[in-house]
Amino acid sequence: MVQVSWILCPQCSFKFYVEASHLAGEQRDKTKWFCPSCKKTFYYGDLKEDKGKKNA
Amino acid sequence: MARDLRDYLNLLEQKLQTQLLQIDKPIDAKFEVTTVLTLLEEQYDRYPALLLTNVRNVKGDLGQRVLTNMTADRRLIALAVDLEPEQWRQELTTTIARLASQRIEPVLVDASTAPVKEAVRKGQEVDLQDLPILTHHEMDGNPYCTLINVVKKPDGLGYNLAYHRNMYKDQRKLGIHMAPFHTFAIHHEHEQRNEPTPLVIVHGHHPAFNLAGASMSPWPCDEYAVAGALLGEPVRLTPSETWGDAFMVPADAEIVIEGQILPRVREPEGPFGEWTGYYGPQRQNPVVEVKAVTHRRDYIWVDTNIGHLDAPNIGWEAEVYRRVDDTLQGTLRGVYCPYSGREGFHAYIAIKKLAEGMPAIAACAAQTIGFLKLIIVVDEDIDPYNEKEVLFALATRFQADQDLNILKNVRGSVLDPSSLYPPSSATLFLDATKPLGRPYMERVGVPKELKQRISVEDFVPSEVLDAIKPARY
Repeated sequence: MVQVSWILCPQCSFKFYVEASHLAGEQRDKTKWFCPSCKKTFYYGDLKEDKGKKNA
Repeated sequence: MARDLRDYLNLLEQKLQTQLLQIDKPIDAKFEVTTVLTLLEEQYDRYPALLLTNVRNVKGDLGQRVLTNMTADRRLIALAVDLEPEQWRQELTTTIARLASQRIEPVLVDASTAPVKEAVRKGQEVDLQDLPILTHHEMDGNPYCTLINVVKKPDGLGYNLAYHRNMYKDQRKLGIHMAPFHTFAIHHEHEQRNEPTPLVIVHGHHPAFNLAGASMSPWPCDEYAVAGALLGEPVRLTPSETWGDAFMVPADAEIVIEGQILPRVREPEGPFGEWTGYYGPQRQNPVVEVKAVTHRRDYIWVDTNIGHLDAPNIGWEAEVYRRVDDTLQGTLRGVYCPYSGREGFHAYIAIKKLAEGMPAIAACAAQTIGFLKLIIVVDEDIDPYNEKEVLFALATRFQADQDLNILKNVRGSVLDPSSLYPPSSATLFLDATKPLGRPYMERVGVPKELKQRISVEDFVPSEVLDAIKPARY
């Protein structure tokens, strides 16, 4: 599958997904991603994957 | 007078007035426009083009004009290529296939006669927040431009037109997502030389012009000339503000955004609700630095309500038709890429079967377009535009142990949620044609001459007919 990782925004708790699985671990951790809701930018390494998915 | 969006809207008002709704109430570009479209779809099963005259721009200021949902109804596309609305089926597919294989070379005009140059903003004067760029879906990363991106091919081969999504990032910056086709290849060449790729976004022109962006023309081909063939007259081009004669832009567009894709720069872009009906995930994608915006004084911002019926994929259907027709040499009867397959994943092909093996040849020709995951070939008595008929053929002329083939490990769409990474797909080919050389059962029916002689109204009054509710089954 196209592997998407569900992310819980550490700032506003919005849940969204990114495609980062094809990037090597260290390279992936240094990539920046942004929350579609609060627009804050985070390093992948600082993001938490969210298994619950979907916003309430 | 050159053909442009205004010309088309006049035609639409004359021929299909009910399918163009003007909404003057204030409305937000963020979610509200697309919510109206979604409710029209979900609650009323209606897909009119919407001309909204009082939309908020990205800054929040009212007063912008937006036109959206222009290609949701195939009758509107038929009008764009000079067909009558009722010619939305086979005639539309074959007309686009025929026109897209022709060329009418563009003509050059002075900027002083170009409507798109009525207002010019360059450098620091540019502020994309002035534009009513829509935010379509709940999880979308930002507002998105959803129309034609133009890049120049190397070696004097002309221009490439393609639909791409461009994410608003700030006053002078956009993101871009490119599937691995022509725009991607052209940018890759520039990037190898560490050079930016000049890019022009055309947000609003006659819909026949936009069809060139959905066509799959061969590489050595100027797609401004394809747009000319679809329009039936030369596209009028004028020098860009950024590159002058070295990059020409359509003079009769509503808005042109000039910029360059930066080499070796990647930033997060997405998510974005795509034509597949799913959000394409946020990815590390290239960045467009915007240099200039030119537009008509009273411009109309054109949007595509992507992820719904308003998809430009009819260009793919026409290309499937062209490839199969080239292969079958006169025995192709119809091609339809239905909405159930998002107008890109499924193809129904009707043929006059003269020999066993012809359905497989037709399927192979269709498959060369890529993306297709399901190809069903039916006999000429089955209407490929009627999905119930196609499934009837599958139910009664198909056996899975004999009539099924799978082609594995073919290029898929990076937007297909079920595809592997790197995008790998499989094509399922179903031969739902009757076998030749042995007697086959006949479909039920009443005598044809009675169907011509008898009128239902002779037996059931029309007011009673009108009152009968459509069946649910």
